[in-house]
Amino acid sequence: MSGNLLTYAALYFGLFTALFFMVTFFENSGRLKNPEPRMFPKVTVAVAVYNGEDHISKTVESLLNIDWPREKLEVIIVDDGSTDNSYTAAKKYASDKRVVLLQQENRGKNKAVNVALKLATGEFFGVLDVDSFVERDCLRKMMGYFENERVMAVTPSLKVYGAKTWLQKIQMMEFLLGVYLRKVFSFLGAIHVTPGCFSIYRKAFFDRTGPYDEENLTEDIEVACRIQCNDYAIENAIDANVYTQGFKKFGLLYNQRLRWYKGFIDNVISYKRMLHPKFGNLGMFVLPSAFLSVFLTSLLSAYMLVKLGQGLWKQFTVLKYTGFDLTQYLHYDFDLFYISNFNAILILNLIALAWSITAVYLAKKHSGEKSSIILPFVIFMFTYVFLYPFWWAGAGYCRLTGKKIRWGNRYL
Amino acid sequence: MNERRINKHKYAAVFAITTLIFILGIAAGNYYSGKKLSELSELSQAIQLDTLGAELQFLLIAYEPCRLFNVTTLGNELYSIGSKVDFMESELGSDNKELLGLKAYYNLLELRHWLLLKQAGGQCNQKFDRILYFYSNKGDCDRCEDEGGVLTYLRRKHPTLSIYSFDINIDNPALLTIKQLYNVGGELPVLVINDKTYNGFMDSKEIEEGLSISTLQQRAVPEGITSPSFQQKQAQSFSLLPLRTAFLRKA
Repeated sequence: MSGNLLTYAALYFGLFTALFFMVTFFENSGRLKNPEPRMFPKVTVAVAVYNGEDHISKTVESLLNIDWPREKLEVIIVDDGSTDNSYTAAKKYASDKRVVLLQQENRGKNKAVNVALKLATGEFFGVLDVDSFVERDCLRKMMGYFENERVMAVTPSLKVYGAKTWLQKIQMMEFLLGVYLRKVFSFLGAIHVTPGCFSIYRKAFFDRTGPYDEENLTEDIEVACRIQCNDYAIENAIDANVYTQGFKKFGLLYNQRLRWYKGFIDNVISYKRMLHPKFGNLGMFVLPSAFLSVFLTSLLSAYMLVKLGQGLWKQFTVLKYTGFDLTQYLHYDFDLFYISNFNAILILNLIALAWSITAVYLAKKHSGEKSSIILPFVIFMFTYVFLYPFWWAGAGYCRLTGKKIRWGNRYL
Repeated sequence: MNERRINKHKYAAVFAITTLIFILGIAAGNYYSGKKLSELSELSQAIQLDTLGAELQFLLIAYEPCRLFNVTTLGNELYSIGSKVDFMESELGSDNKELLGLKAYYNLLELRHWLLLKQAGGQCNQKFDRILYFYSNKGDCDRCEDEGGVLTYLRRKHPTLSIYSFDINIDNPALLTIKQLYNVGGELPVLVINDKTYNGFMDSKEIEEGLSISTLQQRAVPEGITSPSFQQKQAQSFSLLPLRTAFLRKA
């Protein structure tokens, strides 16, 4: 009974949130087109490299081929004490007048980016991770938003490139849903993460409020919160595509999510003044609903796991008392009666599923995603409900116990 | 420029629409559940007619009792209804009034078939193994779920074995008579294997010890394959198989 109540509560909250976001998206569908940039100010992009010799060429070349006036682009590559041949690989671009190549002892990404920020001559500043690359028209699609003086940052659509394994397909779908959500959040004035990958900032904002927080697990969340708290705006260009690699190993992905979610908790606590009516949709709905969704999903998946465990235990018990005779599983009595039992929970789940499919479709359509999303979506639907709370539980544990999380060679 | 200002009207409208969708979803779910129950009820009535028909047939051919008598379809239908009743019980809860009525009626059908099989066995001079299984889902029987699982297994393993299950908390005069006849009471679950009463959980081996050799030799065969011997055909024709898959039942 309590399980049903929990399911109904999660479904009601999920349906409300999904409908609210969908209404917001369609309400603003006439504003999906990006404003054309009328001016072409200088943009500096920093690439912090730590052992990225396999990817650095693709990353830097995508930047050098970007559709932006040559003299208005600066690329600062900071080799953060790589132990592989990253520096040698980067050297071949040093002859390009737009490229500045630096090398330092390993001090971590945030510190490397701050070195680039200090040296940047551009009016605008962005960062591109070494395992990522941009589409040629990406910057042009983003820069028009800066015509508005209140806009301090513009986010692109971050996607996973060439997902092959099931784990990468889950990440691909997660990022695609993120594409949709970020656009919705931008319409609500509630973007609270400016992805580290190629979000472009007005450099003057850093000059005024300080550089990246070098001790922060998620510097991109910290900057976004800082912008919101200073009453500036963050925009999103849904079809400005940036691609990154998805993790193949679960351990690496887990560590990344631990860092993201712990960073999110830390930053929301640091900027708790945002949870105030003054911050409108962000403070009163988007941020609280993020925590509520984690809470409800965690309870629900724990409940589902318990039920699954009970079911498996029952099966084991029967096997135990029937001499572990596995032939009993060869018989299956199929009847449509069991399939077509449309109870309330199933119907509401189907409605929620339809909404999820619509959200993914909208993200795919408006961001110009070409790869097939059917299989990734199916894998995502069956696994994410367990993975998401698992990651959050890990992050919550680290927050409560003060356990440090590894990022590169540092523990923060 | 995007505004983060709260649009109260939008929130209120979305709240109203979500509530409406939610209510409609629940109403549709209840409607379908009700429809399923009436479907089950119709099936039960059809079974009643079939049972009556089989009994009549049995009387008509009393002078040649084992030649034409065939209740295979009847047995399978009864088994199917039992599984569906269990499924609905897990969906709607064991205290649903409509379902309780259906369960009581289903129990009577089971008894009727049990009686029919017992008489047929006597007249055809054959041994048909029958198990009466008494369970409770009021929380006073820890091992009933396990027993249900074991019986489901046995029913699959020996297709000629007939298992009838009864909620011990449902009372009607016929069930009461059976309970008195076999001295059903005490520790649950209670199994009556070929007229002998056992209290407490029994595993598959212990139950099989009480069955006849013909049943034990009869293994499940894939659907569509018919056994060549008349004897076997006849045995299959008496497999009423109305086992309630108590394994599925919510505790």
